[in-house]
Amino acid sequence: MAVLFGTQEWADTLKKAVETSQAYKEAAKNWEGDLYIIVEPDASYTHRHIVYLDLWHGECREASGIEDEGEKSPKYRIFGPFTNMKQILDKKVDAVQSMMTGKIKVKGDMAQIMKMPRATVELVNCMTSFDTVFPD
Amino acid sequence: MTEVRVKKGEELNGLGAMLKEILDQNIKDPGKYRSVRKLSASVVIKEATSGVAVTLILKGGEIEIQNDAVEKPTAYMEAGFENLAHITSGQLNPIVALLTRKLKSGGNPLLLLKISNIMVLK
Repeated sequence: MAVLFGTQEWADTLKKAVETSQAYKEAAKNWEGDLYIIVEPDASYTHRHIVYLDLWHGECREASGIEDEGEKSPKYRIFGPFTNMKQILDKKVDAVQSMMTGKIKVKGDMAQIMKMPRATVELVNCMTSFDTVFPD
Repeated sequence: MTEVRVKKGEELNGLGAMLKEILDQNIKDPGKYRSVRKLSASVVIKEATSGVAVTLILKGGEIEIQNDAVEKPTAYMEAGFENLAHITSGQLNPIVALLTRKLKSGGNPLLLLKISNIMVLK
């Protein structure tokens, strides 16, 4: 069953996917840092959604849907327009390719991402391991 | 020099944005900057899977970064995202990467060696 993006249910589903992924645990065993996943409005979608994840040494300590971006001060922000983010979540495009072309952007300590590129890939694999739908 | 300049009017692609952050950190180190200050060259860096490339232009002590590959660069290097990440984060020695074919390169190899001083976080 598809889960509505931006909701607590989506955050909980992703948390569960992260917790059960051995590949993520291994790739992110030294990862320290929380993040926002931000879906920005574009020509085909008017809403903005933020999901917060607190990732620590292969574990997800907290996952929640966020209303106000100022609520937390995460170390990383992964963001992009709805159309591009949806294509990734629907597995229609590769997340690394989208990151390289700048269709989605990452802000934060790039040194850590470069040290653990597999962690980023495995996190996206967790995000695409279940079906996502977006609110109308 | 405190920062790598982005070509006027361009918004860097993701590869360029990542590399710029690393280059900016490295050129703050006078020793590393000194190793490339006198270079006059163009270096293309390409992510193999996506085909996304950027070019570094070194001239007169300035370093400029721009999207895409220029024609006939002085040197070029190409690797997949994970290998590029491992090289730039200092986990994979560029020479080892070349020998194991994780990194493809062309042009002036000495230049690539010098450039690695500012491309690798140590």
